[in-house]
Amino acid sequence: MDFRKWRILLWAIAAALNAAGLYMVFFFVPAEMTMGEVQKIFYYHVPSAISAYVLFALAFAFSLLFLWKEEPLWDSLAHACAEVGWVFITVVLVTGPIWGRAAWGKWWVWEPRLTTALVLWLMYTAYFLLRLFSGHDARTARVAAVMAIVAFFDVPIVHFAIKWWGSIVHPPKVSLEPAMRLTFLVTSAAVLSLAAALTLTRASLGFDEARSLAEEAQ
Amino acid sequence: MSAMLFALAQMGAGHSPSTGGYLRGGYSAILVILALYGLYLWNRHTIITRRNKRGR
Repeated sequence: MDFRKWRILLWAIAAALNAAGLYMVFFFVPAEMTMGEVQKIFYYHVPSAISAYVLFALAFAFSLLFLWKEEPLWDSLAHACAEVGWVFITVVLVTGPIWGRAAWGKWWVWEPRLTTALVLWLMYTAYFLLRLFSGHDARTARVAAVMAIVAFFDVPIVHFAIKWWGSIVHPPKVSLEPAMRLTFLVTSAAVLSLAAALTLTRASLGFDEARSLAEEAQ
Repeated sequence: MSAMLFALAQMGAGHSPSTGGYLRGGYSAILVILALYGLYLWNRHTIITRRNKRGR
């Protein structure tokens, strides 16, 4: 499968949107009154979390399709989505404490959203360790698909953690003034397009690798 | 590209002396994570290309 044209298009869109997004974050949007400049981490922190949620949902859907149809294509797509989703949840877990240190005075608080997000990261880390150390056989792919399906159930738990158990650091609802809302929309589009470009690139690599391994086996 | 974004982050973060360091740290961390992942993808691409060449 050749996604070359789509990849180039997506990378061009991602580059343009990220350039616009970064410009808006650093030179256009005003600093928040109580937290100051550090609040601007929000403009990449939250869209990274949204991108991770979307990619884990896709990994869940592709894993279900793989278990149903048993076609390697779905496994390859699930693997690509889970991997790029893991990169974005890592961004969330690294930028969150940096923001938290400046805003709350602590790097980490064991509150529901942070804890469930860390559990999510650990579950997908386990998924990669399984894939890394168990080879490319069909059995590994089936076990990995089950892991991706189970791990996805933590996504709504992370999202609704504040509503269900409350939080001392995350507000239940965020209201943004127009300039902040516009910046947030642009950075969300920027991060989502970057996630799409990375996923397509990673999926193409997966297809190339599968083809190359099949040729080598012949 | 990374160097350009880093310079942009440094310029922007310079507006506030109080929490600007954390802002700079946050955006630098994002760049480092994405750059590392980019390197990993590039490395895999190189391995696959080399394997294909050897196969032929």
